[in-house]
Amino acid sequence: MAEHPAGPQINPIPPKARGFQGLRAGVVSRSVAGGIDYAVVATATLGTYVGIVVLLFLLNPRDFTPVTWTFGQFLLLGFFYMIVYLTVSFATTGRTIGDRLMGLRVVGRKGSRLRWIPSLLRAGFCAVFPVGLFWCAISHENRSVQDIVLRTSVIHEWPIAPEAPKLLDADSRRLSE
Amino acid sequence: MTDGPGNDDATEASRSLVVRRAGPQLPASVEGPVDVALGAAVTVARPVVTVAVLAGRAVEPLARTAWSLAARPPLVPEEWTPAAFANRLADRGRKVRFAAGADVTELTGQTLDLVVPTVLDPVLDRVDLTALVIQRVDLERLVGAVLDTMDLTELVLDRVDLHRVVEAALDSLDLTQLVRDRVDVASLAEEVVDEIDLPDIIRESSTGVAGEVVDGARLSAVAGDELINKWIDKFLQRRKARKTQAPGDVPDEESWADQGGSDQAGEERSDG
Repeated sequence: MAEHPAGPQINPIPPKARGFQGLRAGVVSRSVAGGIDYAVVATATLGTYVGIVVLLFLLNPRDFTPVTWTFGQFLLLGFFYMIVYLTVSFATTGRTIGDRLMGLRVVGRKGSRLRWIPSLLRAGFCAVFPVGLFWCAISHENRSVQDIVLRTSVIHEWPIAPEAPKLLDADSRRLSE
Repeated sequence: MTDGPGNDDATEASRSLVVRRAGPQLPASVEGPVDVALGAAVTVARPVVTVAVLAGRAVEPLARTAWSLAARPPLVPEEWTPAAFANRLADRGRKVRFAAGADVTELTGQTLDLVVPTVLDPVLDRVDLTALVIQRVDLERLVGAVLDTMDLTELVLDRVDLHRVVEAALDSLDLTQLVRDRVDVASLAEEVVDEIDLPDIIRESSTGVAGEVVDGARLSAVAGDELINKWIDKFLQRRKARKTQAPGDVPDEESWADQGGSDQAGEERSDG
């Protein structure tokens, strides 16, 4: 492994959290992350509705009548948003916003980032069968139904703020001079 | 320790340098006749001495008998014999000699007191004593023997003003430059950083209140995970611990020493 050009780095993860990095997360962490993701998708869905209403008002203020969506329409849009959001998150960084906040990451069977098709499948599975998440509380390997079927894992891997390495780099350079 | 007699010419030559001659040698015109005279004397004296020795050996028994007869003649009382007379003379002479012995010793001492200073200086002027000592004395052995007999540390502590010595040494040294040249400051600093847990200080200073809240929430969630897992495992009467180790590797302490954050590591692990 090549040495970092800026010199030795310091592990910014708190000592208390280092012990479980790389281990599969439990049901509480994942549920909180999932809840945050649902909140994100719900916000996006409602935002879309509000945006459409505002746009229609701006286009025709006189004859403006607010559109009414049924619950099913909201649900359908939310379902679509959820699949797109999860697919992009899994396939790019391996983290949704909820995962990032809770320090989680979705990885494939070899610990690698998911490709697009598996990401899409997992996103669809999560959207269609969200309660499958709770199986990770019972599973001996902390795996949800989606994880077992698609051979994925959700692990603890706390993200590092981009400012931290810079600060540490500067500190290392000062020490080495 | 010393070179034995008859060593090579180089040794003799170097040794001859040690003693300087006092004055000029005999002139060649005198040396020749003197040598001839000495040679003639030795040539004549040797047969004479040989003949005398042989004659002495032949005459010795006869002379011994004659002396015994003369020293103690028959029919002469013992105290009137020449031998008794010689013994009495010897006793008297011995007493005189013993009496004079102390005087002779004192006289010898006085003579030496007079002679030695007079002779020693010219002798020492003609001798390179330093070179002589260097040639003839095993200095290493001598110094070793001297050091064996004394406690050098105690001697230094008693006789040396260490405070002054150290101060003088420090005055003559640029200690800062010396440390820069001789001490691996970077390694030392790393050790200090390890001791004071600098990462924790940096972490605390770089992560704000929001970061601490997030860290706290994550740790609380992990504690919740463990609690739920424990309850369920107990309910399901599981005896073995959960297998939560995921495939792949997450940067550990050592790899953090070599390279940067986990996001980079995650990208490297990617197979997509």
